[in-house]
Amino acid sequence: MLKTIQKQTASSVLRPLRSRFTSPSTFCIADRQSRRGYSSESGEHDVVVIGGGPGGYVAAIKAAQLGLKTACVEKRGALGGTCLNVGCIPSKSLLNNSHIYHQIKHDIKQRGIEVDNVRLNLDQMMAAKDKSVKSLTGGIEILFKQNGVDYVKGTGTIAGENEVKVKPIDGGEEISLKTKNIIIATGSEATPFPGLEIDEKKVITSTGAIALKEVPKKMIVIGGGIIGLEMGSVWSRLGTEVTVVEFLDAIGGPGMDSDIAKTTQRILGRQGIKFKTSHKVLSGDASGEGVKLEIESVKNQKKDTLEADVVLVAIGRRPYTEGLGLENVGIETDERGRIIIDQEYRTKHENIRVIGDVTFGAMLAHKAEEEGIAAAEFIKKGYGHVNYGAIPSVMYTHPEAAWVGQTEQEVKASGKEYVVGTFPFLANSRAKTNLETDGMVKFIADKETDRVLGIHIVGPNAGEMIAEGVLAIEYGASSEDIARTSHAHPTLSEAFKEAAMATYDKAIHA
Amino acid sequence: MTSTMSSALRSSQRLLRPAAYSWRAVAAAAARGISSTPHNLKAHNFNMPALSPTMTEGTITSWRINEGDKFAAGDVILEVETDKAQMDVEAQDDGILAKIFVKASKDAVQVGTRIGVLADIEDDISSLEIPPESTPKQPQESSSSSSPPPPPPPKEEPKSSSSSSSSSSTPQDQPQQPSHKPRKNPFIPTPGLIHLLHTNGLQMSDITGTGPQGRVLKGDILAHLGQIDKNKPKSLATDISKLSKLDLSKATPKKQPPPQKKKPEQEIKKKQDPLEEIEVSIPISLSNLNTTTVPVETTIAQAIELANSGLPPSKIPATPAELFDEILGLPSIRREPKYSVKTSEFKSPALETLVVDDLFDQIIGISNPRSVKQDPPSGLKEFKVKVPAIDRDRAEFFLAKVKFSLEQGERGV
Repeated sequence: MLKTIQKQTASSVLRPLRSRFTSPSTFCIADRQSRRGYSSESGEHDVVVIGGGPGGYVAAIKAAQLGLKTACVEKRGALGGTCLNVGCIPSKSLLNNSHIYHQIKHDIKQRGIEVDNVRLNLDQMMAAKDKSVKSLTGGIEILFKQNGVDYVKGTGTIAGENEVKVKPIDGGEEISLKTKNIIIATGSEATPFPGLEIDEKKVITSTGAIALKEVPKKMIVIGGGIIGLEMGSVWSRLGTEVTVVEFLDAIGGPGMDSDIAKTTQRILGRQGIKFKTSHKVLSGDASGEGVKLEIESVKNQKKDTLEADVVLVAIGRRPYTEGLGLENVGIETDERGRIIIDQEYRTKHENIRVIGDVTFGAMLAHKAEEEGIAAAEFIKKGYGHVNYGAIPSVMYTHPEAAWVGQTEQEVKASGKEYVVGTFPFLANSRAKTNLETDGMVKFIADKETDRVLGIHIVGPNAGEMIAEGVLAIEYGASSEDIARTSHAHPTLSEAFKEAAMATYDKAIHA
Repeated sequence: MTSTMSSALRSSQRLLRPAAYSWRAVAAAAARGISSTPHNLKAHNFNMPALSPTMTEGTITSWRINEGDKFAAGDVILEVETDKAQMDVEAQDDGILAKIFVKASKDAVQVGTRIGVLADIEDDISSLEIPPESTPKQPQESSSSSSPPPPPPPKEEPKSSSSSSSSSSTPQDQPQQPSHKPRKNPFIPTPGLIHLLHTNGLQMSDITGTGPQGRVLKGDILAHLGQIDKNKPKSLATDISKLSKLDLSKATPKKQPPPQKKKPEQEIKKKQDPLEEIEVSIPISLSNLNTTTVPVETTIAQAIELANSGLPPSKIPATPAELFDEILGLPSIRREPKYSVKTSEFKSPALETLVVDDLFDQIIGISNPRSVKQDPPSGLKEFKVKVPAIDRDRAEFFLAKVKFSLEQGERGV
């Protein structure tokens, strides 16, 4: 109802509940109850959210908390969308556990721990992942109940400006939901590679990459972005020979700072991942036992043929609007299929709003969540807010890469004068004691005012450390502000502080 | 107390780190002194803010929240129209709008007139004591306040209205006086500011903030001191606030030209057989040629000869013999193909050039190169060569060279 309260609930109700759900006993019952909460007798909803991913379910809960009668339509059969079911969450489970396996096998001997007979039980690793996923998706169902959101399991189609038709997944009769407002949050799907048919066994997307039945001998990853590098890391650690083919001359996608991209590529290269940057895939052939790819250097047109058991297509994601019925209400998309909206997420119909991957902006779960809250607030209060200049990105490789704000390339292109301050983890005491000294922290600040424009980290726990950077950018901090703030010793976060010192003055320990 | 605290802090820091940090302890203690904001205030009058230095009165066009509503920093509380513009008044802090005294109307309200009452977020509005109205336009300072009288604030914050309410000193206000210092800017200085403020003898109230929600940033102090361009913080803030918005610059509806789709598909198919012969052609204007001394044919032949030299290597796969020589490190005996040209009258009514808008879109196949039509210049001949598809680029380069030497280059070389 009120923004202050929302802020608190967003952090204090949602998050802690989620983490509480890591104890699986809390909600095994909820999963069995497929809730038919939509009340056809009481008629119209205030809001119907189509899509139960991080954007949709957060929007639904927020709307309900604001006192709106809300339904959420989801066809997957589980809430949480791509992120929880086949994206962020399961991949993090595999990343964490494959890292432990790899560390035990290759790293702990130097730390004075010797273990014999280390074996991988892939089935168990997958079961651990599934358990985490199930507990989290079930947790959202409980949140729906607690907040009074009607959960409608089915495929939602917009039939009119004020009507969503739902085809239930269990095959029942079509339901019609009358509503004052609609929030579209249908998300995205992996972009297929032309000429390679996805079977999720040999030619896979991230969805198949989290569910392989055995460790492939060789894997080619098409696309050196975040998804490709994370999944490539998982299988590389479990013993696969991984080759990443990237069209651009650097990994990490266009959002990653070039220094961070270079450092990350070097570190991952040392871990055994092979890179073919500045290479494009000309064609693929999956007719044989494995998959053959013909690649060509962008620089000198030299051709090469790569073979692998599995090819992971990770060239990006595209908006998902199949069966949504946009044509029924004349809502338009752009060339890339993104639904066209205004700054308040409205389509040409004021009461139909769109959030998350299916529209503009970075395809990130936390961006969609922010928009979900803002969209609900726009409906209830006429005002919502998301600061797109302070949305962090994290790549959960080891070490992690994380950033917020502008890259050096972007600042340079904007014509601003700027200063860069860096600090290597090699000079950080905690990193040294942990024997994990790869990486660095990099600050970019406006030359005259010292206001922080971008923070880029590759290093242990970068994903957690970036939160401080987001706060700094949100508050318009100068690098001196950060440098003059005490950071506990000995922690990795001291590297963050020292990089800030290096930006406006000089680092102490470098 | 401050000194003991700071020395205690200092010594504890010393245990951990070299003495380099001792200044921080002092600064931290100083920060506490500045920031002791009274949170025990029950409610404060919310006066008509001065939204610009020259503003004397404004019209409330609408209240964006209702009496009793809570708000957060950054929320728009009301809209005010001045003689210059319509502006949103944002909350600088969380709170509750306890009461509205002046409803939205067409009547102008003097700056400093009480228009509402704000309460702290935890306050119970039903039992809240509404403070008496302070007299507007009375910049009289309480004698206990040591700070100089501030100039009229450019943007008065809800909280700062407490300053004017305190100036009408009621008896029960008396003990709180020292903490009621008039403050133009209600934000506590950030760690980076403390140092600058102290070393330059400044106070937060001297500075106009350009940060989020009017926060004072380091750049504001540097600009105030004249160390950097005065307009820099503002212009940077404007740039950054642009980034804070969702980028909808490319939000243009998809055009639907369904018949166009076939063309690039055919091209992709052609590329799949790299040795299949294709025809590459280019229109070249011969109107510039000197035809009096040298026959046209000779000039063209010379241009072709010239263009054939210095071409990039052909992509036609090397024969086994050539590869073998290469392995042995023998000087390449490979003979690069030379092109001969057929000319004909240029017929096509318009030239079509393929333009790729976004490389990424093309790679992932969601956008096709679109063709752009150009009107053909007159007096053109079409020059054609037949090459394997794989060498299309090479042939195009060759033809471009021919074109250059016939249209602009030195003729008759």
